Amino acid sequence: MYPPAVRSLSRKRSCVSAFHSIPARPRMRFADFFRCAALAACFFLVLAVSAQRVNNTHPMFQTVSPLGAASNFVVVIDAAHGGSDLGARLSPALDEKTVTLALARRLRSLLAAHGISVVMTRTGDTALPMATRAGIANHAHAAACLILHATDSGVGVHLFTSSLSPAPRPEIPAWGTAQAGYIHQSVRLSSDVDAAFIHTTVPVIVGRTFLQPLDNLTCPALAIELAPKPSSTLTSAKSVDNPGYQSTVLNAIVTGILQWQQDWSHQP
Amino acid sequence: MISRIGQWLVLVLFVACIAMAAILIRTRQRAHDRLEAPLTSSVPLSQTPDEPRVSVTLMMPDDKTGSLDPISETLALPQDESARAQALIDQLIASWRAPGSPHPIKASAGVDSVFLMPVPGEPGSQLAIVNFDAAFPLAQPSGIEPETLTLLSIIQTLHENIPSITEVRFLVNGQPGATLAGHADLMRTYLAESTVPGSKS
Repeated sequence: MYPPAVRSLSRKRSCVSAFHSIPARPRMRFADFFRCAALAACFFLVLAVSAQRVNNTHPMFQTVSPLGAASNFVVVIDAAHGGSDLGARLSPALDEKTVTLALARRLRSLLAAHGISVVMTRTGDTALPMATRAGIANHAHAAACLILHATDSGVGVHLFTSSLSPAPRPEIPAWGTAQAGYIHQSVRLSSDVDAAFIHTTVPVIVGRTFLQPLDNLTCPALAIELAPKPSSTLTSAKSVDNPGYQSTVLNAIVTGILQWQQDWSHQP
Repeated sequence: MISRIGQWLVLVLFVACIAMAAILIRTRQRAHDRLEAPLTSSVPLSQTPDEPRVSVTLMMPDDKTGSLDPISETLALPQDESARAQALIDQLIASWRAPGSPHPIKASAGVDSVFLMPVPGEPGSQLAIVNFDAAFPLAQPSGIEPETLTLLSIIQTLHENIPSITEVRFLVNGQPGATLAGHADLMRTYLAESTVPGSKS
C-alpha cells in the first residue's frame, strides 16, 4: 500500500499514459470539423431568420405595391412624432403622434386603392430620429414625400414647403439643404393639393417654413398640418380627431396627389 | 553660497510675480463688473417715462389666416439698440397675451435677453440673438403654423423697426434648441429678407 501522495501521483501517471496510448489526434479533428459545421449552420439559420424579421418589421420595407401600380411613382408618408415624442397635446387624452399615425394609415389605404405605391416611415408608435425619417424617404426615390402633422391652433389645413432658396441639384446634396434642389417641384405639389381643396369647405393656408426633416428630403416634399374644423361646435381636439372631417381632408389630399401624378409623369 | 546678484534677481522676480498677480486680479474684477453692468440697470431694459415716445410697427400674427398684420403703436423706447429690440419683443409678446389675441400665448413666458452683434463681412448689418426664457416653449402653442408665425413675427418686427437687424438666431434659456415647441427649427440663422408669412386660399 502506497501513502496518499504517491497514490495520487501514480493515478496521474496512469492518466497521462492512457491519454498517450489512444490515437486521439484524428478523432479530435473530426469533432472540430463537426462542431464548426454545426456552428456555421446555426449561424446561417439565425441570419436567415433575422433577415426575414427585418423584412417584415422595418418601415423601409413596408411598401404597399398594389397590382397595376405605376412602378416608379412612390409616395412616402411620414407620420410625425411617435414614441416618447408626443408632439402637440391636443387634449389631455389625445396626442399629436396618435392623430398623425391614424391619418397616415388611412392615407396609405386610400392611395393604395388608387394604385399608388406607398412607403411609411413608421407604422407603429415608435420614435424615429429625423435623420432616419429622411433616410427612408430619400432611399425610396419618391415622387412625393408627405409629412403629416396636427395642431389645435388655427383652422383648416396648413400646407408648408421648405423656406430654402431654390438651387440646382448637385450630384451629392448637402444634408441641411438637400430640399433646395426640389423647391420648384414641392411648390407645384403644394399647389396641386391646395387646388384639390377648392371643392371642400376646408380653408387652406399655404406657407413656407424651416422644418426637420423637410429640409433634408431629396424629393418633392410637403408638410401637411391638420388644424381644427372651422366654426365647429366640437372642441378643437375632437374636431381634429373627427373621422368625417379627416375623411374630407384625406380625400382632397388623394385628389391632389392624383393630379400631381399626372404632372409628374409629364416632367422630363 | 548665492551671489549678491542672484539674491537681487530672485527679489526682483518675486516682486514682479506679486505685481502681475495684482494686475490680473484687478483686470478680472473689471471684466466681471463690465459683464454685469447691463444687469445692474446701467441700461434700462424696459420703457421708462423719460425716454421719448416713438411710433413702432408690430407685426401681429393671425393663426386663422396665417398672416402677419402690421399694427402701429407708440412706445417709449430706450436709446440702446439691444434694449430697444428687447422692449419691442416684450411689447409684441404682451399683445399676444391680451384677451382675444389672434395668436394667443400663455402668460408668464417671454424673452430673457436680446444681444446684437455685427454680421461678419456685411458692414451695417446686425445679427440679433433672441434668448427665450425656459417657460416660453411650454407656453407656445405647438404646431408648424403657430411656431412659424411666432418666429416670423419677431423677425419681421425687429427688421421693421431696426432695419440694421438682418439676421436673427434663437436660443432657449441660453442654449441652442432643436425646435421651438416640437416643430419650427431653431438650429439655423433666419434671414429677415427671405422670411415671408403664408397666404390663405
